[in-house]
Parts: sequence; C-alpha cells; structure tokens
Amino acid sequence: MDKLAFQDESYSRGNCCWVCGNDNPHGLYIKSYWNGDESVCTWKAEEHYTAGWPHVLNGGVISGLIDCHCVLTAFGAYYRDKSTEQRENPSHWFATASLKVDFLKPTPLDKPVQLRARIKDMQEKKVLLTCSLFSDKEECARGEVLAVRVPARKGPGQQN
Amino acid sequence: MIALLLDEVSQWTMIGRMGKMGLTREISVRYLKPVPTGTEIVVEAKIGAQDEKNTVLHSAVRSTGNALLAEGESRWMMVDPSVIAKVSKLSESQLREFLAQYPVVASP
Repeated sequence: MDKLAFQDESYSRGNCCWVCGNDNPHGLYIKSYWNGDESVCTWKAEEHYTAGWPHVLNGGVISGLIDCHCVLTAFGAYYRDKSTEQRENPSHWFATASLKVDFLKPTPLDKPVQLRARIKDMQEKKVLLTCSLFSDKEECARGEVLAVRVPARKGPGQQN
Repeated sequence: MIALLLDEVSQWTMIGRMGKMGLTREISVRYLKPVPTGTEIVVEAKIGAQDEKNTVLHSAVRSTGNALLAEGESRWMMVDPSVIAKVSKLSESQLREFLAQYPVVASP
C-alpha cells in the first residue's frame, strides 16, 4: 500500500471538504491509499454519527464516505503518473457529477469501516468508479460515482 | 452532506405525510451546480410511486431563488415499527408513540 494518502498529496492542498479535506477544521479526515488496482480507506466513526437509532452509522455519512473516497481516487489516478511539478501546481480537481448508493445492511457504528474503490472507466474528463463499504468484511453498502474533471480552484494552501 | 440532506428530508417527508418510517434501500444524486456554504438553501422532497412495502421519494436542493442545485431519487423499504425496534435500542411502543404525532396527510 502507498505510504502517502491522496488527501496528503500536494495536489490535494487547499481541500476544505468536510469528509476528505485536510483544511476543514471540523472534517472527517478520511485517508485513501492505493492498494494495487484498488484504493482503500479505513475509518472509524464517532459515536454521534448515528442513523435514526443509536448503534447504526448514518446513511448520509456513508454516502459522503463513498463519494469522497471515489473522488479522491479519481484525483489519485489522474496525478499518478504526473510530474512533481504538475502535482505541486495542479491544473485540475475532480467534482462529483452523480452518486448512487445501495444500502445493503445496517452498518455498525462501533467498528471501523473499510472502503474499497475501483475505476470502472476513465476518460479524459470523467472517471466512473465503484466502491463498497465493509464492516468486519461484510459488505454493507455499494456505490457508483461519476467524477468529472474541473479546473483547480485555488485553495488556501496554493499561492498561484 | 448534500446526499445526507436529501436522505433526511425524504425520511421526514414520509414520516410527516404518511406517518411511517422507512429504511433507505438506495439513493441517487445528481449534482447540478455548486451549493454555496453560508447561504440558506431549500431542501424538498415529494412522495412518488408507492406500494405496501416500497416508496420512492423525489428530492431536490434549491437556492432561495429557486435555482435547482441538486436532485435526488431514493427508494425506501417501508417497515413496521416492530422491525425497527428489533434493529435499534428503541422500544416498539416508543416508536409507535413517536409516529402517532404525525397523522397521515392525504396527497394533493
């Protein structure tokens, strides 16, 4: 597995996203890494990220985790073979065009979840990804995300 | 966060209009325009096709100027409070008491 998370790469500087950004003081701070052709993320919810009942992870949070893990995987794929210069001064970011999530079973709140995403199709301006969320190796949710390439917005960490 | 809002408002629309709770089976979201932070937005949901066990909700995020920013469709499995009681730490009577606050409203 790669040592540096997509979220900690220079191209992610200035990312204020509540789920995946390092620059949001209230964020969930997920970390996504390559593991072969898959990207993986392990994350543990806080006790109050509940659904309508106390020990089940909120479905909206699950949607956010799948969305952001996939979009950051699109970032990772796009910048994987780019030069250091291009990674330091990213020309493009990715944004979610659409998200679909199937909730297969309740996700326990007291255990870490693992996200595993794969690129289904990668074109010049859009990337289609699939992602499953597991708890104790049981698949609890499955999603599909269409990420589209957009011009990089200059975040607080980027001077140009 | 947008998917979360659409999901929540859909659930509360079912509670408020149908006096029933559901479990999200599936949600699809199309992100049409950036939703700015620090501004008020309108999140709405409408009950679509339904049968005894399933309900479809159509939802949207709009600006206060009525611009469509995101739209969603979710499919819900309608469950009896006894089922929810089994997977939660809540009692069935608590759930029934809660739902009784929301009398069924006829669809327009």
